[in-house]
Amino acid sequence: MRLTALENIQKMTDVELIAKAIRGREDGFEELVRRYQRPITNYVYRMLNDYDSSLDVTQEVFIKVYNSLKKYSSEYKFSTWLYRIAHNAAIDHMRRNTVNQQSLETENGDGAYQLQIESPNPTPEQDRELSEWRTEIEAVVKCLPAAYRDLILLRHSRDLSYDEIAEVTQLPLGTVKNRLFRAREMMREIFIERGFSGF
Amino acid sequence: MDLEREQPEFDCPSGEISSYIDGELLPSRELELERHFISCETCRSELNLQKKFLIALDHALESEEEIDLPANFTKVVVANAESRVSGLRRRSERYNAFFVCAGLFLIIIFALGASGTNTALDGFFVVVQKLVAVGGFVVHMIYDIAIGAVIILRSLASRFVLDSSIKLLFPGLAVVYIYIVSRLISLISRS
Repeated sequence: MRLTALENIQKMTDVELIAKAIRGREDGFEELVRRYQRPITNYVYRMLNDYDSSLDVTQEVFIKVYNSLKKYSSEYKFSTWLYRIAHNAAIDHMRRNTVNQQSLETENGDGAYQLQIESPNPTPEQDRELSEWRTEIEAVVKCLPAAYRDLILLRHSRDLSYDEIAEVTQLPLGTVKNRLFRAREMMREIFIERGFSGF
Repeated sequence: MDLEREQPEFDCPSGEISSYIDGELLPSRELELERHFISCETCRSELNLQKKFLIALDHALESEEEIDLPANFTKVVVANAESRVSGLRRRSERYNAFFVCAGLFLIIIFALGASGTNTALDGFFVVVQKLVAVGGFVVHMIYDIAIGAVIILRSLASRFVLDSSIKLLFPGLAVVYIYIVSRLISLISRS
């Protein structure tokens, strides 16, 4: 009986779960948390590079979500709305801990961010398997300025469209396209500087 | 492979290649780029490099297996969210909570009262009875005073012609009356 109820709730859409949560049923919100806790924690973790902080910020995100469920409009995808809250929470956290970020980024006259940190120089292997690139790519993403890292993660980790990224970050669509292009170019340059070929 | 990439030609849509791979261009623009790729070796090569790069990015960043969440993370998050909730509390919920608490209190009182000889409850009922008696006395006293005041004022009004000088006497008389009555009350309460 209980298993059937659990299966039913797992089959529900996000909007149905939200309606359930608003009606005061905690299992609706619990399922939403279960559904999105891992992607949100991963996104925040990759933004902050700190495990404990990412758990705290994720918790903060879901508390904000729970308090704002009534304000949610179903004309937007729930995940887009959720990522917007996560994006803002991660940015706020970084602002509160500005010591780590000040050295990472400066915006030049073109609105482009320049990398100011020294990158380590590992010895590359020429025919590395695609899966083996993962560690290197993660490391390069961590080197990116937060404004670029955010867009790269939303695009490649969360698979959001440009429009959704604009919605989440509240940036103009043109700025999203421009920054994403620059972020990718910066990553490729870092790979080339590190001696990696193929990109 | 191509560490020293060739610089694309001026007319080459190099900035749009990644948008093309992402599928974010209008169909008409996609078609223009595809025609261009056929004729431009530089852009074709750049397209292949970027495709490879973006596939590697997707592959590396899509994976979410590295994060280990604490076992009870969901429960903790839900409990914290619900304990700090403000937005989902309805006014009716607060009223309901008040009535439920009041109901429970009455049930407890009656249940303990029904059980008979509880000395703690006896004391409580004695206090309640005394409070009711005192309240009744105060209400009666105020009622009697008010009646007396009305009678005095009526008799004064019927005997005097209400010219302007006498009208001025009424507030003064009322003050004197209130003073005398309050003194009497205090004397009674002291005795």
